[in-house]
Amino acid sequence: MLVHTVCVSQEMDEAFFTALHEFSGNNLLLTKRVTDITIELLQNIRRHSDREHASLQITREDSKVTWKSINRVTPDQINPLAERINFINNLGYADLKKQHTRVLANSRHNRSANAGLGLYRIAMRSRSKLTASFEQLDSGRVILSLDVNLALHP
Amino acid sequence: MKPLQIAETPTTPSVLFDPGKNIFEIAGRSVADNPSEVYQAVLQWLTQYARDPRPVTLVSIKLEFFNTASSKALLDTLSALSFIRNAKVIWFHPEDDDDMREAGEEFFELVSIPFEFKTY
Repeated sequence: MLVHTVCVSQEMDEAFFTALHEFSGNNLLLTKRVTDITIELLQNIRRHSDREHASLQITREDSKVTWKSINRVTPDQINPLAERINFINNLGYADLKKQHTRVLANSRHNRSANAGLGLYRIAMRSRSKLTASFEQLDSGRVILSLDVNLALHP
Repeated sequence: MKPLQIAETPTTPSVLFDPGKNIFEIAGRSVADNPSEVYQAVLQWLTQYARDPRPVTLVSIKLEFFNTASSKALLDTLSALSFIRNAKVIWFHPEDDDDMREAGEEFFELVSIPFEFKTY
């Protein structure tokens, strides 16, 4: 098992990309998917959370790569996020693509209409269901743990 | 018209739009948190170029990675290209990279400009 911890405050410099390439066993196609998913999760953390309660870890086993993304959200974000993830998880790949296209098209005319585009992209790249759990720290703080799996085929 | 040349960084693509040499290309990574600095320059340049373009404009797009923020900026860029007469996009992707090909196909669905897909 190989574990790679992404520093959430790290610049995306050459070392960042080289580390993901090496983590992917220098396999170009796997590197592309691992890098795509990692960037979306990392930028999601940076956009929506403080760095204090944020982490991103990638684990590679023989049969899969797993991401554990942790960041802080507010209590009012729980239901919308849970509903969006549930909606995404109920879509097959073809519908996921259609929905991604629709949201992307809407973003051209309405800058705030891009909600969830990153989640659609992660689901498309991983071709797997997203798993989210919420842990309430106190009345104003909740920790979102988002797990993503990518199956590896021999 | 003066060429537009933007150097590649680890998170932003190189851009070379040079009508004199008939080179129009965007290449590299486009994964910056906020890619608007690069794409605003591209959009401004294209607005000027659209007034007096070459008879045919072939724009090569060869991206290694692009993120969600860049997909919106790319869509804006492709929309701007659609206003240039006889413009066409050459979308490059690795032969076995279905994700990158599908991304190109998605853009093709959303803009009114011909696309050609080429592998490398």
